[in-house]
Amino acid sequence: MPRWGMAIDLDRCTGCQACVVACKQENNVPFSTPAQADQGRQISWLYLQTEIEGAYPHVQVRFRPMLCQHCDRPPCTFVCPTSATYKNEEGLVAQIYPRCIGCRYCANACPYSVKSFNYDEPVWPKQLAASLNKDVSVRYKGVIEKCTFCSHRLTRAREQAAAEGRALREEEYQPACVQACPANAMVFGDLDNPHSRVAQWSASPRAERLLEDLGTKPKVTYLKGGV
Amino acid sequence: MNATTNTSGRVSRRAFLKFAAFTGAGITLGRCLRDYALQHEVFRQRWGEGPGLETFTLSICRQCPAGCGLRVRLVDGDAKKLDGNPLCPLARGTTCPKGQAGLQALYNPDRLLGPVKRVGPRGSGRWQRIRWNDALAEVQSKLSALRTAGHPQALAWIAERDDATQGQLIRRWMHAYGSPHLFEFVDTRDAAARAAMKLCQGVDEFPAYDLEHAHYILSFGTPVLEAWLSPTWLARQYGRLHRGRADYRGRFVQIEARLSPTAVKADEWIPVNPGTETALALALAHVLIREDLYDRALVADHTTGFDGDDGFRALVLRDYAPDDVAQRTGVPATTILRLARELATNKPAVALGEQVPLSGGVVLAWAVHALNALNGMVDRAGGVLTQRALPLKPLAETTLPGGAPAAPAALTELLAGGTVEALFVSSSRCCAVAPEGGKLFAAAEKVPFIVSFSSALDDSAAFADLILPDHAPLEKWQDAAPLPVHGRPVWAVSAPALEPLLDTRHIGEVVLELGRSLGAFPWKDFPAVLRFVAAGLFEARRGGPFSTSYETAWTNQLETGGWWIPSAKTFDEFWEQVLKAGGWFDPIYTYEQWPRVLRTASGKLELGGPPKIQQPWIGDEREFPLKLHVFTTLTTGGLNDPNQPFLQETLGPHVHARWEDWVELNPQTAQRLGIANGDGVWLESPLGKARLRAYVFAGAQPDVASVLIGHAHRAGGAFVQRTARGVADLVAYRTDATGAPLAATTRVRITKATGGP
Repeated sequence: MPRWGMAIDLDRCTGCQACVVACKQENNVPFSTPAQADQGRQISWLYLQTEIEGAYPHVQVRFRPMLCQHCDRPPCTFVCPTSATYKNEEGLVAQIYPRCIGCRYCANACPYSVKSFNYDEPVWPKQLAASLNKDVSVRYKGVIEKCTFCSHRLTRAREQAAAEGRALREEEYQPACVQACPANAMVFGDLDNPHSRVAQWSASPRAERLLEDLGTKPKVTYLKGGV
Repeated sequence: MNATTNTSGRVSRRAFLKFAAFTGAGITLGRCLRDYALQHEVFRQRWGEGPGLETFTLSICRQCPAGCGLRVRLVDGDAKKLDGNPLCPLARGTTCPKGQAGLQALYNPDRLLGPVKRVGPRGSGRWQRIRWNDALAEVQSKLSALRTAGHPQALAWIAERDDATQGQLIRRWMHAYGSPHLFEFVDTRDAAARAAMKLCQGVDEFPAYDLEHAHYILSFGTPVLEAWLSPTWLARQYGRLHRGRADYRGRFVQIEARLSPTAVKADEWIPVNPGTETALALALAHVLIREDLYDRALVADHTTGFDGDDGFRALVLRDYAPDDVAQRTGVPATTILRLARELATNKPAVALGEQVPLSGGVVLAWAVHALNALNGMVDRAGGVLTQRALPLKPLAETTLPGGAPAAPAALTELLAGGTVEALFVSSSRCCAVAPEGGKLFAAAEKVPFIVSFSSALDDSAAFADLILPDHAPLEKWQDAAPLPVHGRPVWAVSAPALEPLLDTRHIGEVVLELGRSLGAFPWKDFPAVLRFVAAGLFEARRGGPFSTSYETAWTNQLETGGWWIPSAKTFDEFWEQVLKAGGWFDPIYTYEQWPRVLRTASGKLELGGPPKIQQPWIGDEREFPLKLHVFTTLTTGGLNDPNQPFLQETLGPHVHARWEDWVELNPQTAQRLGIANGDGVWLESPLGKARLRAYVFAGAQPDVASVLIGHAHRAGGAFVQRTARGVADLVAYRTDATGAPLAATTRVRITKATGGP
């Protein structure tokens, strides 16, 4: 059974946000209004986190594409009262919307702040609704949503492989953000396959995992930039 | 003792009732929650039912002028996702955020349903649907009247510069009609760089950059990772510069007034006083010469104007000593020395001097080009290249007008003169970033007949008399010839990815229809014109259809050795192949072809500079204490249709800016002005004032106001920030020999606005 994971090389990443927009388009993530954005109610499964340090002219700003870390010990799953969020056998931390009661315990428990709550019913103008991806359900008011590593693409790839009577090839399953990245800064695959690029990048001396000391065992690895 | 505790083991009546009540409540609550969950167990889908048939087709991204290849995912005929065409040499299977958001341009809810005619006063927003035949007849009769009266030059056309078929067709049509007034704009390139190429090398074209082979990039305010060239290609080169080679990590230094997203991702950011980049570039040249680090062979063999009492050497040694320049630019002399040495010892190294959306000026572009020449990096691997011609078959025998960067001032002057009686507008971008843009609108009001080809009620369409909406790019036959990027010729072409959703018409078909009466257009439709121009590629006997990186490298190897293997025997076969791959590409570039790249009278690169015009800042320093520095973002630069919520949400990640214009202020400056992060402020220049949101940002230079330009519009769809007076209106129009508006011109003051942000 593969253990899916991602590695992001911050030395290649340009902070362009192609991944951010690709994710929104692929996963039917609703856009906010300016008022919602001001209230911090913008929904993003993947966003560009900015850290600013120092004072002019010695300022350091760092960009980091931030998404669900798909922890091997996900704190969000331990607090969910309805098992709406859980870790599946391939290590993906999944979210079942019909089970979610909107208590937001998971959002509070997540140390990475990557879970978004639907404060409002998402609104799509009729014309724009034509571009909604049929493979991904549209969420509704009152539920939590987050990055799924585009697990619908895994389902599709697996069905395709089964139809052709062969095993799934690792490279057939790539999340939308990884596919879009123009700087080739993101790789995705089976962390347990030592020959995969993601496993090699994750073992790099530049590799770091966020808030590892909390024992969450994230499966997203960042490769430090500038070194 | 607690009343409910029963030490004898028996259950008290009170404890039993409590237990029963809680159990009952629990069951009821549980049932409610289960019912709630079951109610939502069915996934809510809002897109109707269909068989879910998935298909993929190719198209071209027109979100900016770069023209990267796209792969479109369609389900039951609806476009669902855009990704890069894996074979396109610019995109290589990826896109920038604008490309990803392209479906919001296609399914823009504010697109026009069909052609409309104004019924109320201009700008009143009252329109009436008309039929295409009536609309075209009206245009035709107006044009015939002008021509019969002997005033064909009373027609002007504002277009986006496009070297591909649609642009050529417009040029040819204007030529055939008899009007020289074709204004072609491009806001993702600096016209000054083109002027410098003309001045130094005699080549009237934008320079290309061999970033793929560069080890060191020194940028003088060029937004390398924002809206410039092809963002997709640039992002790949950035990744490659840092991590593409096993043995070497390249270095990227950004010299800029503000800590822009490009500067954030650079290895080093060097803040510089706005408008003093030229002096810095010449100070680096000073160090190269003084320390004998320059390429003596190239300078001696291929340049002129270096030696002599008034030569380049004498000029920079006399006027640009690092100690003097340090004061002007705010960059320490030690940093200048270090940068020059890094540039000379980390070859291939390239310096970039293009500033967009407003120009850095021809003197800066010349200084940077001269610096590259001194460093031996002209027409060499990793340096500045000269675009190889794209062998498209020309549409006419005569030399066509157009292709030159148009100056908004010249256009404003022409329109204000009152001689223009009909104005066609197929690009709205010219108005968005043109300084004193309000003057252009005021001048346009004098034109009695304005036709817009916009697909929505944008800036230009809102003031038109007739709107003939063009198809969305995904709906039409189209091709793209990107402006110079890496020097190799690229041509993308695609059939429609889907049927037109609305009653729109291809602008190329409209031009053909108008042209038939002039008798100069033998083609039956636009695809026929595409086939006609593509014949030039087939006959060129080089390059081939887009291919994988491996095959492209192989083609390059063969062509370097003097071989070329045709991919097709007949043109029809070739055309099929090119359509299937998404375009044509010739990957070879032979360096140091001096006669081709140095086309000056002397046959050498001329280092004698342009006249330097001292332009004082507009606005009194005491009254307007801050210098205005303008920028665009990756998601807004070059964007034709800003009505895209995904892009509006991701405007400025470094300050968390979304949806609206903003100004970046240094914390000290903001404190002095009593402005807090997120406050609403008035930005005021001698030309007027506009309301913006202020972000206090440590990366902003003290006493400089860095402002987003070209984002808010006079008109637009539901997701566009609308304003009667945009930032561009506050920027003073100053220019040099190129006619392109300069960036560092205007002083401003900022005051806190009352009544929320």
